[in-house]
Amino acid sequence: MNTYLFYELANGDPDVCRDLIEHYMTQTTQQIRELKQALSSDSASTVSRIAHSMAGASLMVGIDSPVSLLRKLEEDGDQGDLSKAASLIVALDKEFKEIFTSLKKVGNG
Amino acid sequence: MTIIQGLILQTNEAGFCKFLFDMCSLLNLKEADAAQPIRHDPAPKEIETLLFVEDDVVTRRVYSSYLRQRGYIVLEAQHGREAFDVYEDNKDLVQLIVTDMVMPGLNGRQWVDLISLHRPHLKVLYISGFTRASIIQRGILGAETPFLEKPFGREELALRVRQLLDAPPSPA
Repeated sequence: MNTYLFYELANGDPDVCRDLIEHYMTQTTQQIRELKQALSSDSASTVSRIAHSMAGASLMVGIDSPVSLLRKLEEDGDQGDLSKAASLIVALDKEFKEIFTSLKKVGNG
Repeated sequence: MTIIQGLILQTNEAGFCKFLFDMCSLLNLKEADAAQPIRHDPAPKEIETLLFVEDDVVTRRVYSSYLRQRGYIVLEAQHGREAFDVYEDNKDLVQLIVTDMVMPGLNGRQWVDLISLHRPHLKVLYISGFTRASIIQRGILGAETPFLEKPFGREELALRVRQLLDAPPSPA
């Protein structure tokens, strides 16, 4: 994971960097919550849209490790298939916890 | 401050005037420098207004900020419905729209189609996490429609923006 892309995107300003990391973590946490809600209401199209947005947002800041899981969720949702969605979301939860731990170190560094 | 006071104390009257003049010139120069936006080629040729529509807050903030540094006025919206309102309030100013495709509510194509009824020549650059092939295959956009696939860099976006603004309006 290239966490330093935040620093570059912030033009080297540590305050802006921390702010961007904070925005990314807050937004991602909210989206994971929305993914779970969409799954519980059986809305495959919403699962697909949220997963697509999360993949794009992560790629733009150089975080590519969750993208394959998100793409799978997006594709399955697009096909109306939520049979593997619960296990994919659990895996995503775990992945983002690790990412957030790394990001907090960058933000505090 | 102590250094400046020390310099004043050690300077005679003529030297003091020159010192003050130099300091003022230096300060004015710094203020003038600070007021200038950071510009690189290709840069805006006049005041140009863009509307940047993106539901991802980090992308919207970083890229809007970068385009402002390049000298553009950048209006922001976080989804299609808000973009429609911002556009309606500023339709005489907006020269180019940069919009994400997949957003909650109205997607990029849907909200642009709404405003295109009244302004068919409006320039639009679509951005998306979809690949260009996928966008065309799904029939969402035509092969010639300006499109930038995520992830892209800030320079890449600025270049496409400049190219589109410089291009003649496409036929309706």
